Amino acid sequence: MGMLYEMLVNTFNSNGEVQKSSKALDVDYIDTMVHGFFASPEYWVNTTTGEIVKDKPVDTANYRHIEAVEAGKCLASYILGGDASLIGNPTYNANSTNYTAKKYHEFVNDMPRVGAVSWTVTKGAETEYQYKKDFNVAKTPEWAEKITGVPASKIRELANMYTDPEQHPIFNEWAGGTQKQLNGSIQLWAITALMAITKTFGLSGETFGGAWATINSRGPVADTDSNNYIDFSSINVGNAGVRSISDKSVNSISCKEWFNGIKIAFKDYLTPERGYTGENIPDWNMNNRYYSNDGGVKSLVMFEKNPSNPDELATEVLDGKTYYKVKRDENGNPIYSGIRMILNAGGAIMVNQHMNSNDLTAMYKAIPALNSEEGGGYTNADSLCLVTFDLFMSPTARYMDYVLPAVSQLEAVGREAFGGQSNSMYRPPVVEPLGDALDSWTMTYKAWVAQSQLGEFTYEGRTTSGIGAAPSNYTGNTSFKPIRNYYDAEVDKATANPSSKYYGMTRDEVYGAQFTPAKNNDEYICTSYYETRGTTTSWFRGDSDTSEGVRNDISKVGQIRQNLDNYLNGDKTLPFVFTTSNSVQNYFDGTTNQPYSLAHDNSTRPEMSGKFQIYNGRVQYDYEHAFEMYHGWLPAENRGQENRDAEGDLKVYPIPMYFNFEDCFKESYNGFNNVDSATGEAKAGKNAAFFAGTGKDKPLTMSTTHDRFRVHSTHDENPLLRELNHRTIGGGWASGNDWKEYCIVPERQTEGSAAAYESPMISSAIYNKNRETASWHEIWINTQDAEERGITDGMLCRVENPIGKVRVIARVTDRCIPGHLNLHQGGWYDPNTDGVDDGGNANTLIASTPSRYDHGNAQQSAYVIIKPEKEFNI
Amino acid sequence: MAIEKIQYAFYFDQTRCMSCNSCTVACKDWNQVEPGPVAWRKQFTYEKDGGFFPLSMGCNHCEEPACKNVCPYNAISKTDDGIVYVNRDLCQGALSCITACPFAKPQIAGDKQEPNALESWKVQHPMQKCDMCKDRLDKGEKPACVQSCVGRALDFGTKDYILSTYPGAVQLNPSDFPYAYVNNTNETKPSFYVKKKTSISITKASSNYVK
Repeated sequence: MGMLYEMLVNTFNSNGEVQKSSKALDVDYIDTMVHGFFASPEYWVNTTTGEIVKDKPVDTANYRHIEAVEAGKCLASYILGGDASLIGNPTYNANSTNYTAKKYHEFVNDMPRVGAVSWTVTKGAETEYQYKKDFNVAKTPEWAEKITGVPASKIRELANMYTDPEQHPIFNEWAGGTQKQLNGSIQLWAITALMAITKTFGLSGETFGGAWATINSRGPVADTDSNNYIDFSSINVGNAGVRSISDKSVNSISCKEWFNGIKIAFKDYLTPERGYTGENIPDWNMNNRYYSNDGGVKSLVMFEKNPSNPDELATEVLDGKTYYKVKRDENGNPIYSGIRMILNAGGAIMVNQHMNSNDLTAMYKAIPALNSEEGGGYTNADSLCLVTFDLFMSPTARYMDYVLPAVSQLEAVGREAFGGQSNSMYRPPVVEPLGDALDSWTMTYKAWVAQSQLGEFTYEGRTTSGIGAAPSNYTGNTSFKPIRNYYDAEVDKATANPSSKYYGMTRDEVYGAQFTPAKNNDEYICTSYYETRGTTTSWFRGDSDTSEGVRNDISKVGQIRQNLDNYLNGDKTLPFVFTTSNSVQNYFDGTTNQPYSLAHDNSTRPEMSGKFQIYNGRVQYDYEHAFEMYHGWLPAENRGQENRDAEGDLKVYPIPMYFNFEDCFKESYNGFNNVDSATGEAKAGKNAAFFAGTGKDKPLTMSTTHDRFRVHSTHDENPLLRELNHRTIGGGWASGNDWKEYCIVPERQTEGSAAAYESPMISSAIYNKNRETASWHEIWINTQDAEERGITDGMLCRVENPIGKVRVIARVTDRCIPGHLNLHQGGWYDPNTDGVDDGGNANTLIASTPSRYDHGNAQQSAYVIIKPEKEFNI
Repeated sequence: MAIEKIQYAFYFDQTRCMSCNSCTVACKDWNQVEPGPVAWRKQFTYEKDGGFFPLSMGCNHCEEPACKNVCPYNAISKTDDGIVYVNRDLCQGALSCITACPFAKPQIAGDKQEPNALESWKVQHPMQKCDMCKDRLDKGEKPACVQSCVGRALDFGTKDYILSTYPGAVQLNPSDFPYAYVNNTNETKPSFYVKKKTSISITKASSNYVK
């Protein structure tokens, strides 16, 4: 935001006239290609010619309606704090130099580009949200400096770099870490908006990449010479999984809400009597079946099938809207499907690698175990069944019903694609797996054989191929061959083929000589533009309402940019028409990805403009109506996703904003005032005091980046790696006192214990009762923050917040910015009898609250207090 | 005619190291040094004057090894390849090498890290340190640390090879690398050549930062 402020003030003079310089934005480009950075009137666009008209055409067949962007709701207004005079009150006027701006002026004479901020703040100046107080504050580099710690001069320097054509291409890679923050997808939207506004797209090497849940994820460079690859396409492999028979009577949802899916299915067991209090979710309501009003989770009940077409669900009309017809039990209550089985094929997701490990384990403990009398045993499909592949008996494995022996990386077949290639490289196993360990493909094959023996390939007239995403050569193949045999056969074919570049090589030579991505010299070739769930554009393959179009092919984005550059160099008196070199595609017909079942009537759903959507009403609409068709079992006001915060204002807006981090943590940790519905009185939330701390009690933000010494939580218990980030008290860096002990469970493990934290310490490095030699994971803290808190390098510390507590050793360093802590992700969850996690698992401190807008994982964000550990005496 | 002696040496590029410690782990793995405080090679990152400086260092196989000269039992020798080699069978735990070495690279393990003494040893825990992976050199391979370096920051070869391949590298010395000299600054002519990282200041957060 600070960068955009700098750009805006460099773009207009004090009379609001457009300035041209390397520090200025290209306003003609923005008018032509960007929707909602500046205000715009309501209009209709001809999907073929790109012409825009003010009034609704008599025949709307070839037109799309594009919503107005109010002067007080465009992004520029937010950035300027609503003070248009900062840029001379610019307008669309008679001097405007492009088709779009001239038309806007024609529709509304001298239409202002920016106006006073007009977002509703119900409580006005009384609002507790800092971000709303900031609505009327200009988002200057100095404003941003106070939040980020990045000097304003550096923000200006960066801004000037983005606007300067000489500095392009600009490449932003790997957004995964950003995305997994509390407002991750909003931040990605803001970054894609920054890139769209600064014309950072369509040039070779110019992209924003690496977000999850995008489509068509490809790198900026592709090698089109197929001779550089061995064709492994006949070995169609993906993730392991046994395909179930989908009978459509239940919905499937985002995997990120799996914990919520368990809650809705087994809510009746989540009671204080069974030991579940929800204490680690400060805003958990014990009366609720689900958390965070997630539309997907609310769709996890059973539905009636259409009697005449089992591929469809029956519908019913409620309150004038059509919903899927909910299946009910004899008492008329809905049947909760939820999530009842998880097959975890990699990682330690179900305890260690997911937010709020305390809540997850408390939840598992309260739900009857599969193989208990209460759980009904493995034949009871209604009980909770958790299966994981595990290599090291991680904390996740400790809570699972079945643990399958996994292979390590070096024991598995490797198949990797690099540099955006669709073709893959193959790496054979380096060593043979030990014991019963099987790679996931072999395990899948065995599961398929078992399914075959059980006759589980048909159900109610439906069939399944049995193996999901397994090697096609396995399907229907009852004579087993390891997956590597199929790869080796393809390699042998290539080495015997005189036209192959691998001709005459040995297998080992081939493994070492597989391709590296090619370079290309075409300025405009094959770039991509990633984003989260269609927030900004509608350009992607498969997104079109109509058909698979050239413009929707991401590899053609470069051609659009080339034509755009030509257009902008011309007189710009006609509309810009999206074209490519070998075909013409004129439609302004975009739609966003995944219009998941909204309400039956989407006539009010805003259209996509075909431009970059900096203002996107569809984002808000889709949020509010997500999965609504499945919500017929709920009272009318609970259908869809509630888009209201604690004060009754919007949670998700149609523009990317900065949501103050403390606001977000107050939401997650129950730190705002709550109004008592009976008395109408506002009472401080139960954790309001946490936020009031000052001096040494002042909370610090904490992130959880990867450690260099392990992958996520894998290898955390490998002594040779563990000693690199463990320290003894007062010991130097890497003073971990490890010997060759891998995860030994001490005798303290007590079977059937009902204590809240009966888990023994699994790390023998810590279980050592001698404090002089025990070692803990380290946390990074800035010198200044450490000094204020009386923390010295090597001191045992406690880090806590309303979600959980961990014990770690401080590493005092200027490489961590002030106000912030960094606890590497992946320490193994190891709660001691005092409820403090001695394993230094970052997820012990991460709230269950999903990220705003996309309800994704928010594992990179916590707000914590750190202090010297005084109470440790276990 | 006497065989001409050579001097093997290590090279380290301070601008390429990303502090991953692959060298540390590969060394322990190859040389069967169990997990624990003793590590023949360790990668550290030093913070100094607002900058940070990685250094991966084991025994520097000095041309004039201080450790060798002070050992009363002649357990330490200099081979024809220039390797400073400890014969652990001869060590009787005088510990004089430990204080003599400027870099604290001769080390003594504890019982937990080294539970089983060899019969040939005279003490429970004789001194141990880097031997340049002699066994690998005999097979024509580079030391495990060099071979495993992900950032290609380490190299190994004769002193002539190192000096001709990396003309910009400087021999380890107390004025450029004070953090390497943890015991003393004795002049030992280390066989360790480093491409220096010029000071890159950590951006100091502004004093305006809201706390």
